[in-house]
Amino acid sequence: MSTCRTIKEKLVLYCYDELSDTEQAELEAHLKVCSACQEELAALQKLQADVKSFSVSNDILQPTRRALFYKLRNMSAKEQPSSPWWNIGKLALQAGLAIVLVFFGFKLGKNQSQTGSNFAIKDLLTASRTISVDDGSISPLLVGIDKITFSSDGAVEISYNTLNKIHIQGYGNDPAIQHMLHYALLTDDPIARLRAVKALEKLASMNKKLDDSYFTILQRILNQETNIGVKLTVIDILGTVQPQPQVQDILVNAMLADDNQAVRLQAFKALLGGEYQIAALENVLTITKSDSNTYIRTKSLELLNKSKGTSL
Amino acid sequence: MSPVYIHVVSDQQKYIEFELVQRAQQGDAKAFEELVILSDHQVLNLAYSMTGSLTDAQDIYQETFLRAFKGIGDFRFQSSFRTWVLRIAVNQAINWRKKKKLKLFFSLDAQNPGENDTPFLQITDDSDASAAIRSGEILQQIHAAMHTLSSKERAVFSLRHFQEIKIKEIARMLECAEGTVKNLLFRATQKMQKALAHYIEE
Repeated sequence: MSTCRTIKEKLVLYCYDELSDTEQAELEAHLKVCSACQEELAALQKLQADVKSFSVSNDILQPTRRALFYKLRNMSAKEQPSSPWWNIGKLALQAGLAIVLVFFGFKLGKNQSQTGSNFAIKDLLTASRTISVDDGSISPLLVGIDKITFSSDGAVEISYNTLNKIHIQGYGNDPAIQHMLHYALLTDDPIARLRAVKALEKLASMNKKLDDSYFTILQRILNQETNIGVKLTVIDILGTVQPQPQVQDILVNAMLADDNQAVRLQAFKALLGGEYQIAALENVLTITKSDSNTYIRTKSLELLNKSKGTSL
Repeated sequence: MSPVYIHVVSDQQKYIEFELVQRAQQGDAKAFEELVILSDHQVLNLAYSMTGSLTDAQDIYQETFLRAFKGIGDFRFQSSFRTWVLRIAVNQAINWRKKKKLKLFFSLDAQNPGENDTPFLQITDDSDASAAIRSGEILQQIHAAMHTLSSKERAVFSLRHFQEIKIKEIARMLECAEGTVKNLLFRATQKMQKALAHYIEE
């Protein structure tokens, strides 16, 4: 039987939803028979309700933030006296703009040209891309994806779920669009993820190749995705692009390690269809010849025999 | 036009954060500012809940981010940026308390630290004026009760109760065992209960 102190401690953890399932079940069983603990729990819950969370208002946060940014800018200005970033900051301060870059990024971005190859929101505003943002107050990097469409001429459009609709359009080989597709592929939203892989599939089948940056992400999807449809699409994408070592590695991994038969089979077919050197796959085939899937098993054996036949 | 605040906690955000930190480490001050925006409301709230004084909270806020800015090169992605920054803030708030104690020793205003700060508060769930006044009173009581806690108890209580951060993450932040955090939370809750007993029973 637990001591009084441990039960009291558990009651506190119970209030904060920090008990394991078994601990919680035990405690709930105890609560049913112990009126002292019931009272204790009620008192704790009252404390929780009364000591409400409070938050410092935005009216305080904003000037505090501005003061910090001002100080930071001074510091960087001292380190790099000719930094263009500082001059822009100074101008912006003088103009009385709130320097909340995420929210005003669009506006600032229009007026400045900056060096550096890193992607920034401003990149979206240059060249032939079009973006419609009604008040330019939201960073598309922080919002959900509404839909992704792909047109036959190779243009991709991504719409974001914001108060004011944001659409980003551009060609698939455009770095900014690629970047936004990376985010879409990594999103928590399963539907947006599916849309992203579908768009990528069209892109891949049209160009027969993909930027290398996608492959790490596709590997990650194969490792973590729960939706088999998404996984199969990823395999199809990898089967569509021109054979290359990185793609082969991913496909071999999927073929050997995926829990799902259909995914393993699809990866197997993609490898066979992709004109990869069977000889290079020999080690893999000796493993797959004992796969639980009959097709993979027999086909592996057949290929192994064939490759032995040719080498002899 | 008022800015729209969006808080998304997701892989996507982790990816963005990862990239921003990398850029900040390469000296991109703008990336650092974006990181500040992602975490600073929580830092200010934490500092405020730990000190009970808005001016002190603002000082801690500034000191925290200046330290983070100078130390970003040493950030090794062992935790999220938010966890890292909150850890700095907690340490700052604990140090602040030590400094303050020293000051209070020589000061006559010891009883009312930061009493002028209350009107600035935005209190959740309040509509009419009398409720606001009552909430103001409650807040003063809460701050007084918080002063009965030790620095660590206060840190844990602020993080778990006000910032709603899970015990596991707090343990990582304070670099101690989860059991220690649980123990501190328990003691803090008991002290809060005791300190607020007359008020809550009304």
